[in-house]
Amino acid sequence: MTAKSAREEILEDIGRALHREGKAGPLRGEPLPSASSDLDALVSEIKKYSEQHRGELTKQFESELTRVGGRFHRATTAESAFQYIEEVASVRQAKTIIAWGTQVIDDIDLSGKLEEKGIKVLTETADREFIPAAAASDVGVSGVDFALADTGTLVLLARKGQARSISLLPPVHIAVVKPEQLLSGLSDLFPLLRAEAEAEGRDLSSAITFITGPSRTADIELTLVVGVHGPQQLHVVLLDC
Amino acid sequence: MKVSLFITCLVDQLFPEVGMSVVSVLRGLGAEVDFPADQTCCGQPAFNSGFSSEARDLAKRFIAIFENSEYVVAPSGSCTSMVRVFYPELFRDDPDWHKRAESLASRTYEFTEFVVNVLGVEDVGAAYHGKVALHQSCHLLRELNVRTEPQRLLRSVKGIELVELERAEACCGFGGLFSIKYPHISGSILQDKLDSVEKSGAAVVVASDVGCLMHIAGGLSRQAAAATTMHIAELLAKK
Amino acid sequence: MLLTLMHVNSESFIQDSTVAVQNKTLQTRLRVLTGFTTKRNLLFAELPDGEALRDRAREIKEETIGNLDSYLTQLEENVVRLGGTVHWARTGKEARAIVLELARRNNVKRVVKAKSMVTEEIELNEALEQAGIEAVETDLGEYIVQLAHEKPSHILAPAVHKSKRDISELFADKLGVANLKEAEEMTVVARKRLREKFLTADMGITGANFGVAETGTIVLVENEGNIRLSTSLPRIHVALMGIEKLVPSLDDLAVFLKILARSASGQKMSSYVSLITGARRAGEADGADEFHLIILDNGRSRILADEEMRESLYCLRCGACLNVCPVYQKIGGHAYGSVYSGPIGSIITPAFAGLEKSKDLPFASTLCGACREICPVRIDIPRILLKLRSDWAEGKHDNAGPPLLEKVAIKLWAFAMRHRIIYNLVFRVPAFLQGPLLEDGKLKRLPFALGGWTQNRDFPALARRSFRSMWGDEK
Repeated sequence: MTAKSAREEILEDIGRALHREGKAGPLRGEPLPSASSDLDALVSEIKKYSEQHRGELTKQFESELTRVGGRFHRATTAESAFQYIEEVASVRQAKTIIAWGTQVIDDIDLSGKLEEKGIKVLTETADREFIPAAAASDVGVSGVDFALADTGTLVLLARKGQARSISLLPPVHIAVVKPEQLLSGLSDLFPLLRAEAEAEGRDLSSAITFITGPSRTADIELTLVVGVHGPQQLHVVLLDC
Repeated sequence: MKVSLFITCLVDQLFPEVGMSVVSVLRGLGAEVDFPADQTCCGQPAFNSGFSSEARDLAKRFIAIFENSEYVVAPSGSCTSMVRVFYPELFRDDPDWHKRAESLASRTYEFTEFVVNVLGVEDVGAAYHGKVALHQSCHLLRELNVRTEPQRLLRSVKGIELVELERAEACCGFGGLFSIKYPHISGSILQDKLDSVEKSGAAVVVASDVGCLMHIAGGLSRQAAAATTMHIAELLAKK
Repeated sequence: MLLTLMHVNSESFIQDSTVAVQNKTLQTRLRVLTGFTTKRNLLFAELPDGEALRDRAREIKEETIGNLDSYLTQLEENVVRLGGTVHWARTGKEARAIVLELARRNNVKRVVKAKSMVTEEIELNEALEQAGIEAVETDLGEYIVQLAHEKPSHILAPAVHKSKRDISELFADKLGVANLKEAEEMTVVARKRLREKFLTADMGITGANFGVAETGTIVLVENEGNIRLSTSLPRIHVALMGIEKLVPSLDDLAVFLKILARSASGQKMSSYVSLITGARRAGEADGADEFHLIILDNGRSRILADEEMRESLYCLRCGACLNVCPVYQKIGGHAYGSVYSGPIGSIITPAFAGLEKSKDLPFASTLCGACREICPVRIDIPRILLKLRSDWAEGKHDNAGPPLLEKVAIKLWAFAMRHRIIYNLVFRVPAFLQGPLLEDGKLKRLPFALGGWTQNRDFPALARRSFRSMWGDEK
């Protein structure tokens, strides 16, 4: 007689605790909008809403971001976005910047222009050097996948070209957001995440990170200290052009 | 309107003037008040100590005494909670007694909520000149959901100067037998309440429960503080 | 024979709480917790649908806990499908063994740990240390208590009982950095020390705030960034999750994310939320190579079986009940002698450790109800406290029950209360005799068990005439 596995025993204990004879019943009947057509309809509704309320959402996002100690810059040209980033880098006396390898960074021509100023711009590499390089960088520049207006939150998906360390290890994080990435809040985010995953034929990203302001703690006498393990400064550049 | 007075053992044996005040106010508002003399204790001390069986016995006794009353009114949020909230729970597994308990519960009120919500009165014609602060007893507030009735009654008292008690909704630390089993914690919580009283400048602290009041009074007196305590019924009976 | 699943020191509650209420530093430290409550109240008042969200959150938990086995298997399927490994542990002992085996197999020398109540519950750090593995707490508060060889005293702010001066002395002693005065300076030192650990750790261990069954996702909520670092840099990520931490879907998760930070720390959203689904995918430059989820029972299915206690499994571990509890505010977390303190601790500790060892916890409450009022999922803690008191009186949960003297006393008392004349005498006799004992019309000393009252309060004199006697006159 073989001993029951921990898994079997735990599931049995739970079943017994819930007064169930035999197999567990079906899960909640309430349909999630996961059937493709329902999801598509919901997604287009969300996109339409976001588009129509873009101005409000932008204002709200800025206000919430500022409230949690992030800094907001609206750039109406790629040049203006670049200049803001350069300004931040120069104030920090940055020697090295590490950036996402994505379109939005190319759009600002970050590497090209900063190299001219003598600042090295690194991107993600698939080797052992990457993490130490990110740790030694002064500024991390990323794009975002979405931004949530009601809490001033940035949503970043981990994937090739969007390494987690870039928005995490350097003491300063600058995130470039496009207006069409703005959503009203969490309830709009999750359907879009699901739809995107389905469309690309994959599951959810290995890590979806919500960033709401710089890192903080109140562990010492409940005194707020901004900048603990994560970045001490968070800047958001809205690339609105 | 016939009201049976549920006196509560603490009022009966330690603060009878509170009972007299309740009778006086209710009669003044046109209610007929009777006192079922056979009543003793509602059983809350046993229930709160985990002795449900003894609590059930006392509950049955209580229900039998009061179940033919039109209204049952008590000058206590915690004792009223016992009857209204916990009696039905005590008889969860006994359909007959559960029914009787629920029926009685639907007719049992704490004094201030009865005056305001059943009699529909906020001005009982009382007069009292002095600085008064209200402590909001926990059971009244959070078991019975009686949140504004005491204040509304107090505001109508002629000549009264109602002062805010900081953290008026915070527990005073009485908690029934807790006050004796964990006197160091009870006393420590009480100190915050005493500090609030001092800060408010009140001459009198008023509440709906004599348990809270004797605990607060005990602290005020031990520390020779100037403020005193009064049950809300006593204040409302003053002319 | 009830298995004690968690070690506690709750037997010394009375001594420990006595020391605590006299500790002036502790009293000052605890007072600041009301700030969380003030912010929480403001944020909830701002929400157009705050109460509806709480109701919805509770509903979701009822649904999830009511079908827990189904959701757990769904979670497992998804985690495995995405390349993670799922382990099941009946007890803390089994969970520790799983972690140690994973560490051994992977040659792990250094572990970075995120703040996790579950890992405290099973005393994981001690087991790792004993196996020669360095386990570093990376949440600043946990780092501080670890350096001090203490246990955390609050779910959210583990070092809330320590003053700046305490911490400064600790850093001077343990880290060799002296004369730090301000919180910011101390944080900079901790950041530097811990950054080195993050970059060289072999394994990151976290708990899980939520597990999303439909996607196989573990959700971790924080402000400091130590969780992001612990889950992005080391090659192995181990997450320990109590069976009750599930939600069915991402849409359900949204409800909880809206109320968790508000309830816990009065923030609309914590600085970071990590949704981790499996290990890193091919082509990604960081993230763990291996993801292990340990699903832990350790007494939770026992709580599940008790219908009156079941709702304690809805707890989000937000800490709001600690912040509003008049008792916690005076005695702090350590006096409870358990990893789980405050109101929630008072109800789950007896379930995990047995009532015999923790019998003071259900009784050391005024039943004021502030906890129930603030709980985001509306757990009726006072009800459960009363149920545990009744369990104690009946000798349930393997406890000896009340001493004979107490049983006799309650029976005598009940007898007296059932007979009006005896009831009356019980008061009238002392009322008659109390004269010589009165000072200024009050009793300054009460006898026997009642003496606790007069330690710090006067007791009113019994009335010369009872109400019923005065009523008799009226008639």
